[in-house]
Amino acid sequence: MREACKWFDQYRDGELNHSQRALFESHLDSCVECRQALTLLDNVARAIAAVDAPLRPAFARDTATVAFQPSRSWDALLVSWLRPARAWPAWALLVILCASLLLFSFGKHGDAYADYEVLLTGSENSAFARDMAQIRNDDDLLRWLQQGGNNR
Amino acid sequence: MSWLVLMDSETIKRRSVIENWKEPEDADLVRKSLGGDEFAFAELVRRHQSAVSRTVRRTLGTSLEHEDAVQEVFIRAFNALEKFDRARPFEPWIVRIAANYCIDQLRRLRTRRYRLWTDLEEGEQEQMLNRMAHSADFDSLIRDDPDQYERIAMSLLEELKPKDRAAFVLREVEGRHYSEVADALSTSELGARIRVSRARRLVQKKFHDYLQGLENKRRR
Repeated sequence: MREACKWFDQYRDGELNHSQRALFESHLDSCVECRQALTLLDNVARAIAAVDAPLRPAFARDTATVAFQPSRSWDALLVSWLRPARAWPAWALLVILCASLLLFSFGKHGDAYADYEVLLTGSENSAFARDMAQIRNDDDLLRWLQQGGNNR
Repeated sequence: MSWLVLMDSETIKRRSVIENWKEPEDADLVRKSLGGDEFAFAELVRRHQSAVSRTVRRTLGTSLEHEDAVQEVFIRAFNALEKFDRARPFEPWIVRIAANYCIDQLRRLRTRRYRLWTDLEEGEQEQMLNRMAHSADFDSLIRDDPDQYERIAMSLLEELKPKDRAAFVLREVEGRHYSEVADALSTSELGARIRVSRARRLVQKKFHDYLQGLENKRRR
């Protein structure tokens, strides 16, 4: 690659000053690659631009009708729901739902603790609890085990 | 007599309304569209449909669903209309939506390759490619077979990254300024320049690879 080849993009974009442009154009006389690249890019652009894509005369009206249709795809509905005006009630609803769920789950915890309390109280009244209360040292415990106290 | 005077004043009033009537600005149409005016949105579409259609066609190439694609761009725009800054022009905004739509489609259809010119003889392909790189009077050649030349040109863009391809089309084909390309691709002007430059190099490389491949086949 010759030194002047690096100006290719600036030349193509018309961003070289007068003297630089003259220098690059004299370089083009001797550089086949740059000359060919310029023609190629010009012609690729022309070939792509040459084919038109006409739309039906009623296209604009039909598009507006589709846009204003109430039943749109789920993603469009989601986007419309996320618009600020509608987002506030949606957020409020979400907060209420979360709060209800939290309250419900705390209530559940309360019930579990209550069950635990009942079990504790129950165990205090049980035979096991009574035995435990009578065991005061290791000898008592050994005697209790020999009598099969832990299998009762 | 009094009836004639009344008619006269009415005519004058109407004429004054017609003379002072100005086409509504895009910003007014956006405001009315947001207020539920379907006709205003249709007018907005009518004004910008050519620009969107060109960008979509030139970036994605031939497609049977071209109108659906253009419509999808406008539907996306409609859904995002509240975000549009009415102090700024509408066209760069809608072109950005169109460019993003094309990039999404190119990413989705990454496997779809442009091999549409295989119905041509290899000799014809080689001839057309050579014309593309050497003919200064290309316009008259395109007129003979615009679709075939478009297919060849699009096949040279096939390996570009979606954003590079969109940058190439916006700059090289549509002649947009780098600031507009940057705006459309949500990047900096330097980023847009890098993408366009890279795309130019890759188009040349692809061209040489194709030509080399055809020559090798011919020699065998």
